[in-house]
Amino acid sequence: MTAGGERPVGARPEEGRSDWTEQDLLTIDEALPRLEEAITEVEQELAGVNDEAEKELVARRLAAMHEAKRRLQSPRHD
Amino acid sequence: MPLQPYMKLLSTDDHLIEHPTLWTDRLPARFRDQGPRIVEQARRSGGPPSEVWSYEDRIYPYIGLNAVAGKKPEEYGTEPTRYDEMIPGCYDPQARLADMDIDGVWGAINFPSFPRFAGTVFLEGRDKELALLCVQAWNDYKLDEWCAAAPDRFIPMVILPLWDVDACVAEIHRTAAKGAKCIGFPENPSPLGLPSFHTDHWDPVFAAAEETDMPLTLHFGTSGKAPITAPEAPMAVMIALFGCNSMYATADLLFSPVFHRHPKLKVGLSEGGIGWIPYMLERMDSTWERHRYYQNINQSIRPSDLFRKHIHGCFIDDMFGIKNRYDVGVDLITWECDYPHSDSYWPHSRKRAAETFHDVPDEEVHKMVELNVRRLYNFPA
Repeated sequence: MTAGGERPVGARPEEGRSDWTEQDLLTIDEALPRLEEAITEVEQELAGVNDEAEKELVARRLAAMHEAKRRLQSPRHD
Repeated sequence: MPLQPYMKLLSTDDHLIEHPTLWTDRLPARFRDQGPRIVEQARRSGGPPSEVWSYEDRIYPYIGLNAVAGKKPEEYGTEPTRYDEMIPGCYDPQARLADMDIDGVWGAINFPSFPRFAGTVFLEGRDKELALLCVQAWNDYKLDEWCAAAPDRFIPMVILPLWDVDACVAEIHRTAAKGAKCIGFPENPSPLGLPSFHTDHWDPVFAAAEETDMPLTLHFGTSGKAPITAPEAPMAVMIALFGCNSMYATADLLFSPVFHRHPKLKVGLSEGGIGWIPYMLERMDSTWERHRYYQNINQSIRPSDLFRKHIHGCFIDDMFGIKNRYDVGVDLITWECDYPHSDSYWPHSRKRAAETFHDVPDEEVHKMVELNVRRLYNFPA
């Protein structure tokens, strides 16, 4: 990234100067729909699991996903 | 199912975003105003101001970029973001671990963001005493806070004060004593204004890496030189060609004296893909066969033999490389998921990996997702 730094915010990074600032982050606005879609998939998966041990693993992951969703939906943090 | 539940996915290319007070918490009081700190700056698109880094009197206009959120592909751009727009796993190690659990990923190497992937931002520091303290502060944060949150899951990587070889050596030994396992290093120092791999400048650094058994991790792009073909070329050209930086680094190293002088030195290439490796080795061997006699290059060891002794590659999406894994070398392949960048598959990384490895024997999958990483980075289970 440029050392002088007075470029307008929002301008494209100076690719030739940075080490490929592919820092396009998973923001909350993008992560939430990904997570919601995954929760739906895992709920369907859980309904089809018969093995008790596997069921427990899938249920544990689903609970973690709900917790992550709750965290992302909570008032914005800093 | 070749990706078995007992196999622990270890990513060789993830990233962290430095929290806002990483440096102000650690720098001596006299440096706090000049060291990296977060300031607000009006956003071109309106809305809440962006949070950007200020270092000495320079502004680095992002803490992270938001390329996609809520936008159609035709509207993609890059805009600096704010901490409260990021998922907390970017900067909070406990939230990161929770996200890794959801993703089915056990462990990872996490590259820096503001310092750049090999710490090269501190080359720009006018005050080198401050710059050294900044490098040490990042390493202390990485080892004492980030990796300490889960020492069996975060593979400790450190950065170096690249402008001073003696200081690099001291930092390698200091951080090795604190548990560091690998060193972020530029894929090519020359474009950064530093001596190249073809000089003896870095010998003390590479010797220290050998002594401490710490591989160099070379993330593509860390030379500061992107594969841009023309000023008017769309960003797609650069994105498509970025793996070429890893090819450049490989050829540069294999035709340099580095591995001949440092027979125990290991290198992990991050984010460069693997499908190109068989062709490049064939090409380098052919070059060596025909053209070595009139050049000041090693006359006795084939580049491909040197590669197999010293270098590992990594991939996130490379079906060609997986299909041709025997020519790449199954023992030389590692896997990455690139969290928290938007091209990661989170929260589906494990599912995606299972699809990728669908036709691969279990024992080979286990090597690529876990065992090769543990061996290379001296990171036992």
